[in-house]
Amino acid sequence: MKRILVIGGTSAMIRESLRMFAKEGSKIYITGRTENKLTSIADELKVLGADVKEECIDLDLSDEHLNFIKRAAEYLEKIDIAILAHGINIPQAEADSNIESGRKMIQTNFVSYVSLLTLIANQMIEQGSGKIAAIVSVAGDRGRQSNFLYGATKAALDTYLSGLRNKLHKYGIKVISIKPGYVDTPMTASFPHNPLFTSAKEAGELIFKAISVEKDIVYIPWFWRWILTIIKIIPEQIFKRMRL
Amino acid sequence: MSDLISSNNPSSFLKKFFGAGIESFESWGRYPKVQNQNEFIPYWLNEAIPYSSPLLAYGLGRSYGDCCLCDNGTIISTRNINRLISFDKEDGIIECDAGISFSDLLEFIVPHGWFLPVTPGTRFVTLGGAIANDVHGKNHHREGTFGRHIIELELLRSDCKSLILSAGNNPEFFNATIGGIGLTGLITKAKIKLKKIHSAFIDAETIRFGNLNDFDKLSRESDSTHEYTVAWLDGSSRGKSFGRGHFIRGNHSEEGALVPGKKNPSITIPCDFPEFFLNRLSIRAFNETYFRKPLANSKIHYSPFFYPLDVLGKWNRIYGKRGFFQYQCVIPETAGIPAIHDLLETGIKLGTGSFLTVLKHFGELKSPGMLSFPMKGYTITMDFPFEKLKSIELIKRLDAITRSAGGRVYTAKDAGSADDLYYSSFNIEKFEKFIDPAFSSNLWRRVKRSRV
Repeated sequence: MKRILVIGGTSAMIRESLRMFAKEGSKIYITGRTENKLTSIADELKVLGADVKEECIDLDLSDEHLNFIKRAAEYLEKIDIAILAHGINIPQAEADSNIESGRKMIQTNFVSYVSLLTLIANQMIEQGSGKIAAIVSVAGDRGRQSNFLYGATKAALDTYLSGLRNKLHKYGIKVISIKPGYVDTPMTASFPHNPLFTSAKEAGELIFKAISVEKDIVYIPWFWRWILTIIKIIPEQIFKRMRL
Repeated sequence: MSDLISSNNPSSFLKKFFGAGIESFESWGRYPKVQNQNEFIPYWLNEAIPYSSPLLAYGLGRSYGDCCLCDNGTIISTRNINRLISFDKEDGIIECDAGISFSDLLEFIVPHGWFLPVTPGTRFVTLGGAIANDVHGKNHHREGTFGRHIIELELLRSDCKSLILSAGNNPEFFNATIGGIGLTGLITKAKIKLKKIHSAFIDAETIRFGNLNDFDKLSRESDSTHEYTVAWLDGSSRGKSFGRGHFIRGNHSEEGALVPGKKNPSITIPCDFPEFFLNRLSIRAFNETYFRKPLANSKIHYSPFFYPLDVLGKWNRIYGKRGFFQYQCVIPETAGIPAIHDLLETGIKLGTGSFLTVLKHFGELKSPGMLSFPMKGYTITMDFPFEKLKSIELIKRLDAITRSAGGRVYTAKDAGSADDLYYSSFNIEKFEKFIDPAFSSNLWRRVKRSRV
């Protein structure tokens, strides 16, 4: 039985991964910000065979984090897998005109992760084992004019995870950076859906696999690694003139 | 999202050339085409709909004709509203969101020893769609339609009121919603009674028959001994071979593991085939080859037994861009086999012959649905490539046979049958009282137009 802590469990992608963990009979501590969504997802996981406790909580502010991790660890007894999937995507134009909304995105997508990851890492060092999976994004691989603040929060997280992976390696703790491309979820509902889009179900299943086989960095699906490789080698001289 | 349909959008450009894209909201037969339709794809039902009515629910798009299309309106895709809500393992009662597919449902219930009480020939339909079309299957003579197994359902109306409907609670609304082709509002949840199984396998048997009378004899014999019966017909051979086919029957096996089938199709047709691919000759050749294939009588998994075509993803593309139509009607017992004979003959003489033809004897169990299609008698299903005026004429001729036999056509398949057939088959005036004023479909507008 796997003991799993999930933050941002109402994400459409993560719901699909959790369904697969639930079928294996896992024990899950799941959080989200919207009560009715959280309850309906928790109920489904119970039907599928998981042992589930849900907590409706907004983890933007860090004063609650220590108690929260304590509660989760107490319920789970041990955290085998921690999945961090919470996040917001404020359109660049809005962040440009409203500094506060941008600041909030940094808080949710990066600052809260640092505090939670620190506490989770300490807990896992104490346990002597564990896996941490966090949702980054292909948007963090290179800043583009269409969403660079969102991308910057993800780039910061990406770098942080890379350091954390390096630090935790000697303890046998895995850190998995998950980089989804376009996934058909509520976050991307307003984008035109081109053929590069992946369904939430497929993405969730790929995330489940990546966690199971303990990859370091995984693109969802695989082809985004090559798309981003190309985007990253474009010289800045040319890149700055492009409309991406 | 409305800019998705504008032609200068790169994604629709790619869609056009590769047939790719995440999906397109068309009917399975791809005739008729839809015009100026918005698509709303919610994950949760607490969002306001940002487009104008008329509205119509859209599940997995397996309806063949125009009952799942809404010109100048908005379709609400239910594919992401697909959660399991509760499951009673002992009694086999499951409650789910209406957007769950039969495929996902089977994957979950089969290992627990339960099965769908009634299933159509594809598992890629949603629960909501199965209720709205009151689908039937190979066990109609034993279990009736899917609608007979609904314990309760939830209907969201455009005035934001949620109605809980069952045979005991608001029964007329319940009966209007079963088989109500999505016009009474948005079906959001349903609770159904499942069928107990001990194995995921079927003891199946296939028997060749030479003509329609032999089919009738076989079918009547098998009704009492077999839970599942259906026949495949050679839909293109004349003369001595006319009316030949395979009779397929089966029962749930007592032995074998409770394993669900494969999740996805093995092969997906990547693009539209050229239109000349299916013509009178190739259809004839296919039917001939299929008739002569060696028959195996054995224990087979439920997937190939119920869903032989599901191994081929997007098989509607083999008809090419023009699309195809499936004519399905039911002929009452009184008119019987002679009317089926006429329908089959008309398909062969007037059309290309039917690529895939299915014949089934319906039992007498009545559905609660007001617009439910099945009745005691014979139902025949024929597939034809769409060939403009020729096809319209063919539908007219088939309708004439159905009409004089006192039969009905099936809303889920209908792409342009004469609308008076609906008025003569059902109490439309009574049904209309339950329609949600914000909901409509192309099929419904067609039916109404005939009375203006």
